[in-house]
Amino acid sequence: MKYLKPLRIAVSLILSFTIAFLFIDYYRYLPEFLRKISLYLQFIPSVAAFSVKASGAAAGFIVVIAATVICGRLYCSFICPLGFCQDIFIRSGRSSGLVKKRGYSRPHYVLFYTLLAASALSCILSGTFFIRWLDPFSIFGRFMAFGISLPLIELNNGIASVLVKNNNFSVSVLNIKPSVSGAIFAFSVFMLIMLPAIFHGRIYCNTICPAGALLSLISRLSFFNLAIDPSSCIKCGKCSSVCKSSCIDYAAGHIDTARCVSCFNCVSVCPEQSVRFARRKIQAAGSKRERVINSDNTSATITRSGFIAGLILLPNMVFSQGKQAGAIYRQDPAKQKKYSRKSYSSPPGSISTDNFNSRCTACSLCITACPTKVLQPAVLQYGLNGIMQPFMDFSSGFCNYDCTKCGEVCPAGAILETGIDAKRRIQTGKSVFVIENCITYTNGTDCGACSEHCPTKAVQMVPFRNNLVIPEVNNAICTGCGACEYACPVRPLRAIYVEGNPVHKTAELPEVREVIKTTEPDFPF
Amino acid sequence: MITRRDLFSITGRMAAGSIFTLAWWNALRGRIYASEKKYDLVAVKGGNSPVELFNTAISQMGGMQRFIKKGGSVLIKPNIGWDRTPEYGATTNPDLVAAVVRECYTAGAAKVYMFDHTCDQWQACYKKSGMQATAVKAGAELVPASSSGYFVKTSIPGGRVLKEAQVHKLFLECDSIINIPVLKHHSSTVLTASMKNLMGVVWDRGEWHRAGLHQCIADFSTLRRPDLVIIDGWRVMTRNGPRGYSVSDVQNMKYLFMSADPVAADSAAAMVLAQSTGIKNPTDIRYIKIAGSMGLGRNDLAKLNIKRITI
Repeated sequence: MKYLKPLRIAVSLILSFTIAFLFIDYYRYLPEFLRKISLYLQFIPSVAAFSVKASGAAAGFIVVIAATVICGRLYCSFICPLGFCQDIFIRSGRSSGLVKKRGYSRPHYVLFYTLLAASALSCILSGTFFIRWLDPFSIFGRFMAFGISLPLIELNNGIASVLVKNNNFSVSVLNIKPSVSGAIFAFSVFMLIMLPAIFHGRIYCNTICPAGALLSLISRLSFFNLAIDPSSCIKCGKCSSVCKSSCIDYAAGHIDTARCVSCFNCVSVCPEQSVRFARRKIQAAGSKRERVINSDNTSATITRSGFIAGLILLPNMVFSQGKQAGAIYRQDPAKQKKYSRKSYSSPPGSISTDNFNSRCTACSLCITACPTKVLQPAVLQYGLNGIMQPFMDFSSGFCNYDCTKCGEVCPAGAILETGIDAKRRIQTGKSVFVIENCITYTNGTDCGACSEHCPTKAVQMVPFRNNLVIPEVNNAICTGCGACEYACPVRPLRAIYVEGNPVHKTAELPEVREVIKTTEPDFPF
Repeated sequence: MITRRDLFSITGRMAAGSIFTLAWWNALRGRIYASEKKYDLVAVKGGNSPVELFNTAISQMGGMQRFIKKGGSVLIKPNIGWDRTPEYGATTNPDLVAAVVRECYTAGAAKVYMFDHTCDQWQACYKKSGMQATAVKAGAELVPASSSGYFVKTSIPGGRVLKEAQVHKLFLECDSIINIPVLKHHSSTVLTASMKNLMGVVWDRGEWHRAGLHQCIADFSTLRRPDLVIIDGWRVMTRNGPRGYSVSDVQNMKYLFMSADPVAADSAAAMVLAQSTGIKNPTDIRYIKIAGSMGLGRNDLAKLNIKRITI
């Protein structure tokens, strides 16, 4: 029985480090099966993906439920990366002497299951808007994508800039400027879960987490569970003091298995081997205690933390969007032709903005995997419903015509994997050319940056006055990749922009003309 | 009557003279050799590979040692601007680049660097263009140009419109520069060859688009003239440039141009590109004309000493 805890530590170390690393570099270094399995088992993304297309490829949550039916909430300690992080904090609290002993505490089931019901209901009614704030995988993802990436990028660039001075180019400077406020926000949310963990253990997992709540209900019926053998127990209380869920009432000889996250600390610490993982016995006594209602305290905490999160969230996100890469060419705003984008584009493979908004859990994995950094977290670009979800931000990049990475990595099925041929024809938006703002029109010089970047030549240069050339847009073959908008040097408003398609369309393929043959045998000069 | 003293004196002077001549002999011989072989431009076409064209051209130009410093560093600037395979002709032929790198090392280069400030995501470009494999194979260091951290703010005293640019530090530091563009159609400058390829050396190239592309291309060429220009005209994108849409845009024209004069090289390349595209007046391409008038090189092809070779 003692091997259970080391096994748990080993599995969670591998899976959590894999997932953490996916947010730093998805494609290199890690073997594919490890990437796939670590994402496959993430509960809420898997449920989301299954709801898009019920298939074995998205059935990770069924595996988790099956495991829970047999053994209880293994997921929470073996698989969940946020659980793993809390374990680190819990352990550091104990080993630093900050927390001496943790005993039994009463559950907060009303709040716990109410939040689960609310999450389920809101998913059915309006998609992921509510659950994306509670899902442990997405909270962890945002922490990695925004909270951790900022210091990592700064560190990398610091090292690189020293090396570059000596013409050592082995570390490349990353041209990514993550928003400081985004980092603070993601870090704050993360710490709002981690700091209480030091003192109260897995309180988030047993009070807020919707995956935890569902698995908790299932684990009440599991075949195997942890129980104290009353005949050999000497009531030393060691099990209770190391329990992360504060669910062992050693005096009563009772373990509240609905809160137990299967960390097996108690098994390891018991001097008499009285805590055993065995077939469930019907528990008559003690079960009543579990139903004591004590949600006042926690709900107050939640209201408070929600309020703080809101305080940090909106203003900061709004500010971070404003400061984009340095302006290149400022025209007098009064003289520019005004326009406003009606809708922003959702990633290719997301079918429609509505579909995407209702399915994405905002874990931000695609944002970190996107090679061109066109995917950025939304503030209000999609309206309130799409907050934190990735949108195509053509001021920070454009969608590579030959890239399908966001669809490959999405664990929630919000961005479908379409394959390259289909992806090249997905029209996420259409280019709109505003001639009044174009440099060729206002300054009388050649530019053509938009057409250069266009992968389908939907933006072509056509003759204009004084031997100049000016862009012309053919929307039938435009994919809405945003290369033209990204390349346009005009500010504050650009001379070409992409109007998102709320429902994605199919672009026509550009006409491939015949090869022109040259037959000139001699040098033309 | 020759005295003993005279004899000593004459012998001494003769010895001094011989030493003087011997000391300069190598240099003198090199000069005579070079002036015999000196072409303003070598244009080669045909053959079985761009490497064959290169080998022919470089021997006609008098060897790579004429253009690079022994024991010095060399920057090779290919076009790696797009995330496309070599068949699309959007990027310089990787085999050709490998041959040039090897030739540099043979001629005594201590270190060969390559980079491009790409339009598509840089790692994708480096990989798909075949340039990464080429660099590893031939022993060049393919360095990033993906962040402003690699660039140094530099003033361009000879520029008329472009007075300042953020220039990659290696472009300023390397002892010699070899510019190896691929010849392509270009939607706004009609063609792109050697001078336009140097846009990949600066960080803030949006400024060129803003301030007038043609003038800025010429202006930047005043900063530092590459020691050698090799234009890859093996696969030529004849329309939809500079990115290209499909391989049907590409023609196997099998050309290579080599010159120390970027204006002459671009002028000749323009004439060839005009054969297969709708370019009406290849001698009227604005940035080439401007560069010619600014004295950056010669666009009067008729008056140049050109070696034309068909293999």
